[in-house]
Amino acid sequence: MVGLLEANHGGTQDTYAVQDYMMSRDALRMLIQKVDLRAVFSRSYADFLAKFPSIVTRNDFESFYSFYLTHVKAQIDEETGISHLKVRTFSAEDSQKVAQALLDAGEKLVNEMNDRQRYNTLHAVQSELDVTLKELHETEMQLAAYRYSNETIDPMKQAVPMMGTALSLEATLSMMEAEKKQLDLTAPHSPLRKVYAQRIASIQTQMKNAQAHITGHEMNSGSLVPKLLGYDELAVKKTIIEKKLAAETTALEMAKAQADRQMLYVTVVAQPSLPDYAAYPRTAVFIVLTFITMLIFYVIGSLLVSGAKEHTLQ
Amino acid sequence: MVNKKVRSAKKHVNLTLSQSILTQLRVIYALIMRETLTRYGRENIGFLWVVGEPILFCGGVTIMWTLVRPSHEHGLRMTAMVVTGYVPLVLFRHAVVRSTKAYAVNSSLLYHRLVTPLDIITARITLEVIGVMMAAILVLCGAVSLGYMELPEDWALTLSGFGFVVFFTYGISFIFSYLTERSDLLEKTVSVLTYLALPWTGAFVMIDWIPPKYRWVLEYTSPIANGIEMMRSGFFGSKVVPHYSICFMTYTSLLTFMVGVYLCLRVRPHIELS
Repeated sequence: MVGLLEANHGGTQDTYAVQDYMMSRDALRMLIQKVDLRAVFSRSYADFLAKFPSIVTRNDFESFYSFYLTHVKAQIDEETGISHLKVRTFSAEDSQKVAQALLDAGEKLVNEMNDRQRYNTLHAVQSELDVTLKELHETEMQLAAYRYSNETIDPMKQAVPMMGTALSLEATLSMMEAEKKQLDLTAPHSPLRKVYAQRIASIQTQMKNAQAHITGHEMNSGSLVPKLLGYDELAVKKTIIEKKLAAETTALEMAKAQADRQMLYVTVVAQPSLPDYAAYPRTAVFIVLTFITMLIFYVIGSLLVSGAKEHTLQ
Repeated sequence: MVNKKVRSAKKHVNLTLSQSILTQLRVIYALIMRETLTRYGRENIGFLWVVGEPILFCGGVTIMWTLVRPSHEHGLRMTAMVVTGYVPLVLFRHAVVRSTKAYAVNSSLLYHRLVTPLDIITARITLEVIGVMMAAILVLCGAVSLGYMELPEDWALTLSGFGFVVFFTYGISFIFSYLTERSDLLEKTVSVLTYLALPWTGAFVMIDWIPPKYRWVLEYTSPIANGIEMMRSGFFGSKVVPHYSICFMTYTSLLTFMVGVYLCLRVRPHIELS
């Protein structure tokens, strides 16, 4: 009874897993449950020495396991990577049934291994991705809170029009000053000079205020510099997290593709066959072997005896 | 032999089988005792050279290889590989070399009716086996206590592997003792032959290391390689993939032994008296 199976995908260690499982106590327990292996090996027509439990074996699980190991063999052909499963019982149907059950169990094992592997590969990447998403969300929230508390959307963008105001004020101021200087030269006693002086003074205050708004040093001046600092920190953090997220999304896609590629299969090359005559015991071979062995023992024995007999004097 | 002469020859007339077997064992024992004296004398450590000779061989080679070669080969410790390979090899080579012309040298002993050629050769090989075994124990103790190797994982497997080698060695030595008595050419070439047989004994490789195409050479023609493989499988446990067959070893050893004993019982007419 020969079933052949093959694990696709070069990794022979997976084939070993199937083989080891088939020769394990777990497989034996499974067979006892599914195909009632105890009954298979204690058929009434089995001879009293070969069956289990027999008069030479104990009737416990360990003994049954060693009995099982002598009747079921899963071996890997190292060159082809195909493993061979041989099952020996007392009837052809039983052998086929046991072999089929073992093959099914092997397939189940491989499927479990696949699921496990897929889960392991994907789970790690997925959880990384989840963590990053959470981080991104937190950063967004921080940014929003910052915007509320500082009453600003983007200090940098805000700074641009304020700078513009300051510049136009400066332009107006220099124009005023030029006009006042001209007035000083042409009409030193004009009452307009006072007006100009007042205007210049008020524009200068305005400018100071505007400057303080942008780059002031005093507290409570509403300066943009400290706001910009906090804002920049958050913005950089956000950019980094976004980049990380992109990389992890790619990794997840790749892991998915790899997991799909790494699927293992048990390919049954040949179904368990139903032999039409008993392959064991090999009666003729055993008789010849026994004859030859006994002959060798007899010859050696008689030679040794005649050797010993030489030590008696006539 | 002295006490043999004191006894009256009448004691050995018409013995039963068990008595003659006992006599044979006594003769072999006496021959071993005599051999230790004639070979090593009473000078310096005397008969301790029985152990000394193989231990110099095994120990020396083990130390050399441990120093010169990488510490691990195919994941196995070099020292353990050398010890498990060299001990059977030394046994095989020494036994075969000692068996050449064993009768011509001892032909004067055959004057005594109670001493047969089979006794002479058995005594010689047994002495060799005892020496190598004691040397092996000492080397093993030394290497283990110095931490260069571990104790066998499965003593039973290791010892039975060694047992098969010993059994085969007896048989092959019997055959060689006869053949060298008949052929001078073989006598002169035995040491060369045992040297050329080095790869065939598989002492320095595991069968698993060589390409599958050539494995049969060691697996199915060399009982010694099988025995060494069995020893190593017991020594290293699951770290190695052994290729040996108890069936093959049993049959080859039994056949060799059978032929050997047969030849030894027929060798008497061919012995050159010196």
